[in-house]
Order: sequence, then structure tokens, then C-alpha cells
Amino acid sequence: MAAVVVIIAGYAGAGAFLPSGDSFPEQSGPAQKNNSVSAQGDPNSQMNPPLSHADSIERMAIGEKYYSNICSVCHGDEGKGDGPVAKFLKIKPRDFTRAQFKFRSTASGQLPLDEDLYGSITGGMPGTGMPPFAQMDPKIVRDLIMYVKSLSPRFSDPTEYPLDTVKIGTPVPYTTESVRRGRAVYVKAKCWTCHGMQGKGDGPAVDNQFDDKGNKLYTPDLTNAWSKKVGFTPELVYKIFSTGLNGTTMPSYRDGLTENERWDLANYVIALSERRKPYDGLDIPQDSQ
Amino acid sequence: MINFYRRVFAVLAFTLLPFSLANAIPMFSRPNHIPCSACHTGDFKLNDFGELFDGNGYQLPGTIDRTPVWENMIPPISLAVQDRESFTQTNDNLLPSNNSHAATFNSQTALLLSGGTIAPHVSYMTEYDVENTGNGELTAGLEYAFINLNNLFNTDMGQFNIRLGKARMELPFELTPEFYAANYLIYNYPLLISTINPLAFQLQMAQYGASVFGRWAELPFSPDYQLAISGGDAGEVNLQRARLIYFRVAPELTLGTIPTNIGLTLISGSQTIDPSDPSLLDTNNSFTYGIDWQLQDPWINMFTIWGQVMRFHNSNIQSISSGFFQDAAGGYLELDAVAIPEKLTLQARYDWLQEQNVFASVSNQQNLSQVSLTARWHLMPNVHLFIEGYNLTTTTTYPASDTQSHFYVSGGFFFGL
Repeated sequence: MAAVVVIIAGYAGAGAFLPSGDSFPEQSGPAQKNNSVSAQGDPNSQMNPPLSHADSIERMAIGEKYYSNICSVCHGDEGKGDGPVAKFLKIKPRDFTRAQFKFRSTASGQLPLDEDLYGSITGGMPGTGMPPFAQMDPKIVRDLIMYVKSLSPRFSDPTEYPLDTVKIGTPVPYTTESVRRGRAVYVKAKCWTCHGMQGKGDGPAVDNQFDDKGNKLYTPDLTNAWSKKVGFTPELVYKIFSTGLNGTTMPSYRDGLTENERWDLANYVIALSERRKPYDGLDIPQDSQ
Repeated sequence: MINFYRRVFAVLAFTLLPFSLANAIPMFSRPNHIPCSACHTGDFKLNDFGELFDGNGYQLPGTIDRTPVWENMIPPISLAVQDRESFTQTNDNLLPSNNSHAATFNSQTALLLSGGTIAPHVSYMTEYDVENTGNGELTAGLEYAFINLNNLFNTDMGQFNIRLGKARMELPFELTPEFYAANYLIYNYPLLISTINPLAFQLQMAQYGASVFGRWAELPFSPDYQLAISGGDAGEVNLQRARLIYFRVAPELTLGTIPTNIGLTLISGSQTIDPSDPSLLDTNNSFTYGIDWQLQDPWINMFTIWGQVMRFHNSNIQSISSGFFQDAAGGYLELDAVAIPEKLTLQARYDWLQEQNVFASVSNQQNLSQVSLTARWHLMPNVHLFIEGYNLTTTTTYPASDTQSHFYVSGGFFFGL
């Protein structure tokens, strides 16, 4: 697994946040309300035009307006995840001041890319109170991202950069053999301690899982696609294994498992959600990838 | 009774068919894959995000949905069924012969709802109710149906909307009397004392009319507002001769560290009852005002305190009599607790209402007080179990002093799809 090291670029009191994905509509602006803005991104991607300071202030103001009128009801005025709606939700809203984002393209413990935040806002978090703002104007989503990043000092801390992004690489085909190997990896990596031997989220350690804020963690039932938040394809599951979920007890297996082992494990998890037979894999179509 | 269950089953079966893959998430949460509690408080009130969703024309705030409901894969239909078994006991100090008690399987309600986007800036919402009134008879009717022209002037956060049709007025919270036995006494009180249809102008009932409403985030304290004109709830009310003007504004405040909404309500009504005999021409005017509040607990983030006090004045000027007026004042104080998020909610409420009417120099006073408690347990994704109890005490002074008490407790289930 080759990781791509990203660079920082800053200019005129504002900086660029460089996207690494083709689907991300436009680069985000500065992460800070004031100055010393950092940027991140793929050095091979095309750099977007820089923002003027006045444009940055204007966009930040738009982001703040939308945040305070929409996002703050759950995430709180200061982004601490303590808005008035939070008490009704079993899975608590993200505390933006800690900048611990679960679903990222970056290495364990690192900050997310803008496109990760873009995906979370427009795709939502199924099963939680976070709806998909898919029809929100992309420019406003970018402004929101800029404001959300301003809520944590981590985004303006130069020591947080460069970010180490996870490369998807070449998937291992979704075959019976891969699923069988994935099952072995599942046992070897002790995934069952939380997710249970059958993947139903009922492992022996499941009752003692808390996030970094002390909120109860709800281990997903991997056999129920509806209980998943993100891992709907082998690529997305692979990404989770490679990045870990910051702020939770789900670690990164980027160093603990080989790339192929992670792909096999991802195929096994997908097989679980499709209710394939996890042991003999008889229902897995050969070379269905 | 059997017919009722057959009909409910038929509706259920019909509704379940297209939703079998939808994991049974209700109408608005289903396409967004979010739990009910993203918009609701654990019972049927809307939380702050639900208010934003509602105020944005049943679209996510910050967005202008351009996809009409018929282009979505999932039909915009929801079904709710509630059944309850109850025990009631009535005591009458003056007339012990009125004392009674009964245990009954007496209340079933089924609702069919539909709502969503018709076009950019146009959405709709409708609810059709079927209810077993307790003696085996079914009543059915359109509870409300309206069209929203939402997010006008290209706003996308519900600043300016127009609602046309039959709808409830904006109250401190979304009122769902269909699912509760204990009425909010002030919402049950008639705003216009009408001899034609005395139930036409209760706040708990949807009214025919038009309103402008929204949440103006750019203004100081981001006030919610509504200005409505209403003609009553039923077709037999003459719209030209009975009308109500309703205005409510509710800014967001912070009292110390306590997030608060304070609302002010003003209602003015008038009607002319025009019988066949011109000598009985009768004009009735009313004025109502009230203040409401919602306080969030900022410490353990578990409680919400709701309340409202209202004062009602009805004056009736008759051509042949010396006149009539009726004053009333009342309110409620409610404590809602989220004991276990998305699982267990508790409510405790105290209602009171004092009525005084004077006709031909004869005065009658009636005092009502009510204590109610409700617990709801979210058993499964679509099923709630509940226990509700209340005690209503009524004291009257005319023609003789009398006190009645009515105790009610019930339990049942709620199913939503």
C-alpha cells in the first residue's frame, strides 16, 4: 500500500485545500477565521485558483450562517456536538472542536480531506441523525466545510500536515476464495471481539465500547446493510480498514494486515451484508467482481 | 370492532407491500435513512431540526428540493395506527348517581399521511384519519390538507412560506391530539363561542385558511412567525361571516446558559350569526392573547420545559338581549424527559382553565385542572408502547356548587410506517 504524501501550500493569509478525488466539485478555502491557513492535497492533482482574502471572509461568513441556522441544532453553536437536538439522538453528533472524524481518506488519527467532509455532508450518515444534504448547493457545502474546519485549532496547526492519504489500489476480486480468506482474516484480526463471530455486532467486548468523549458506541450489525453508515462497497470497507475510525475503538489495520488481507476482509464483510454463507461461501458468485 | 381491524389490516398489508425493502422508516426519514428522533422529540413534537424541516416545506433545510415525489423510488405515504385499552372512573360530589367506572378497549386510530415536494418551492401535506369512537362506529375524515409555497424569493432556509388549505396553526410545538387522551385544555377551548359550530375554532383542530409563516434567521433572535386568516374547520361555517386572524412570533433567546424560545400569540375573531329572523341578528367578537416558552436543559441535556398561558375574551352583542360575555384564562406547564435517547421518553403536564361566563347578569364559573403523565417506550423501529394517565377535576358554581373528577389511565401501542 503506497501512501500519498500531500503538501501544504499557503498564501496571502489564506490557503488552498487541495482535493485528491475527481468527484469533489471544487477545492475548499481556508480553514481558519484569521490567518496562517494550511492546505493539503494530492500533489499530482490540479491546483485550483487561490481565493482572495476578501473572498475567504465572505465564504466563511456564508458557511457560518448556514452552520448556525442548520448544523448548530445538533452540533451546537460552538461545534461541540451539544446542540438542542443532541439529547434525542442515540448516536451523538460529531464534536467538531476535536476534529476527530470517523470517515476519512487519511491515516489513523489524522485530519480528513475536504472531500471526506463533503461526502459526509452530502451523503449523510445512514442510521444516525445526519441526513444527506445531497441537494444543497455545492458552493454552500464548501463554505460550510470551511467554517467547520475553523471550529478546531487542529486544522490550522502546521504540525498536522502533511496528511497521509490512503490509496485504494487494485481490489481483490469478490470471489468465494476471497471471502473464505476474509473469514480467516476476520478471526485472525479478532474482529469478532466487537462484531461477533457471525458479524451481528454482538461480540464479547461490545458492551464496553465508548468513543473518545465517553459516548456509547453502537457496533454495527454487519449482516444488516441498513445498520451501516458508509461501508456499502468493498472499496469503502477497505478504506475503513486502512484508515480506522478516529475517536472510536475501531483501529486502522493498515500496518497490521497486508493490502490483500484487507481486500479479502472487505469482501467478507460485504458477503455478510448480502447474507452470503460466511463459512463455505457457496452463495458467492465466482468472479462476480 | 372486527370490521375495524379488518380494515386496518387491509391498509397495513397494502402499505407494507411497496415498503418491504425500506426497513420500515416512515415517510420523511425513510428516503434520508435517519431515525425519527432526528426530527422528533421522542413523542410527536418536532425538535429544532424537525421545525427546520417543517418550515422548509418538508425539505432538508438549506436545500430547495426539485424532485417531485412521483419521481422518487419510495412512495410518499406513511401509515400510523394506535390502539389503547383504558380504565376510566368518574366521581360527582353533587350527584353520586353519576359516579361510574369502566374498563374498555375503546380507542383505535389509523392515520394515512402523504407529503413532499411537488415542484421547486411547492410542497404538500395531508392526513386522513379513521377512528373508532368507542361504540364500534367508525369516523373518518380529512384531518388536514394543505399546499406550501415554500422558500419564496429564492431563500432556502424557510424564511418566507405561504400555506393554503386546512392546517393547524403554528403552536409552540407540533400538536398531535389524535394520539393523546388528555387534551391541552387551552387548545380545546373555543376561540369563538359560536352557536353554529362551537368546535369550529379550537387551536387543536385544523382550520381552513391561508397563512404566511417561516423562520427569519437574518433578524435578531431568529424569530419564527406566522400570520394566518382562518374560516374555521368545517364547511358549514360561513367563511364570509366567521373569521379568525392569528399571529404568533417566537424569537430564540438565551437565558443565561438556557436555550429558550419565547412566543407571543395574538388572535382576533369575529362572526355574525344571521338567522332567518332578522331580530335575532347576533354578532360575536373575541380576542385572545398568550405567551409561551420552551426551555432546554443545558446541564444534563435531558429535559425540556414547555408552557403557555392564554387569556380568552368573547363578547356577544345581541339585538334582543342585554349581552353575553365569556372570559377564560388557562395554560399548561409540561416537562418532557428523554430518559433513554431513541428509547424511553416521559412527560408530565399540568393544565388549568378558568372560565367565567355572564349572561343576563347571571354568572357561572368553571375551573378545570388536569394532571397527566405519559411514558413511551420505543420497542422496535416501528412500534411504540405507551402508558398515559390523567386526572381532570371540574368545579362549577352554577346552578349549584359541584366538583367532578375524571380519572383515566390507558395503555397501548403505536405503529408507524
